[in-house]
Amino acid sequence: MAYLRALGCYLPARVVENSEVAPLVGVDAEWLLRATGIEQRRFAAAEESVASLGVRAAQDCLRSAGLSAYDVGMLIVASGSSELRFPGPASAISAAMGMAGTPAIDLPMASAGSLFGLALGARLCRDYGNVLVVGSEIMSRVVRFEPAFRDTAILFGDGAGACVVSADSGFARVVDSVLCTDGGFREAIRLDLKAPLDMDGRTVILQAARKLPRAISEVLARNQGEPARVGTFADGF
Amino acid sequence: MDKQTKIIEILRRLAGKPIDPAPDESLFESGLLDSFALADFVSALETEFAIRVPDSDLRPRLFDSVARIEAYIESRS
Repeated sequence: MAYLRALGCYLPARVVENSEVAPLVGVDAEWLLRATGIEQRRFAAAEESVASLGVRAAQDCLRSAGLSAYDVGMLIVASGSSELRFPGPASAISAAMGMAGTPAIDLPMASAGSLFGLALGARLCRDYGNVLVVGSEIMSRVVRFEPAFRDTAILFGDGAGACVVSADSGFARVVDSVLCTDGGFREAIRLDLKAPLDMDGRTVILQAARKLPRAISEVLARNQGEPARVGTFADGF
Repeated sequence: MDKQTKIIEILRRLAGKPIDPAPDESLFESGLLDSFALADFVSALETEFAIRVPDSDLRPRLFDSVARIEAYIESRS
């Protein structure tokens, strides 16, 4: 068994409205809202890092769980926008939280990385005890706010989330998960070390529109679940 | 009804207006097909032409014009 024991989050203080982004990328704010459904996003301050955002989310999560860093048996950190090739943010978060000696693992994956972390945590918590899973991104530094890069600039912001996965108790049981990777489309969204985020939005949407419903159907069928009986769908795409 | 006419019928249905793209006109560049409608469009093609588009063929360039779509459908029939 595995349970979600607590959730935590951190959003940088700076709120960025569509009216600020739109002129930089050559569109109007109404178009941006219509095209993305996004009204505002947060941008990290210059002194913040992927790890520092993650620390704030992790602290919020442990506070909510009523746990201390000593109660965590493993740390998993997912991020696609880490500042360094290595070490990844897991070691910095571990150090900031006073978790020396606790295994800390980086998942260098954007988007679905935190869901992969949650799924892995649900399996590993039986051996390691409480698993603290953190997802943290500073995407505002890897996109360019210019018309030529509009497709990515309008979509992303900064923030971090965290959860504790425990083997014994929590507010929700992690019943099952379906993890899939199709490396054939790895070029559809990529971040090189010295170039802005590159995304073929049409391919990403086309692939996601086909594969996300398939994964949902698979996990429901495997557990005799019916879509009509699902109370909440939370899309982490 | 030939394939191109059927393809344009599907595009009209999704666009909700009478459009008439030339066979080689880029559906994306002309704004006749946006990213979010693309997935529904491919599903509609599968139903209409009784074909299955495998994941490996879910590439926008295969569906960028009526002529390309027709060629793809013929390759799958």
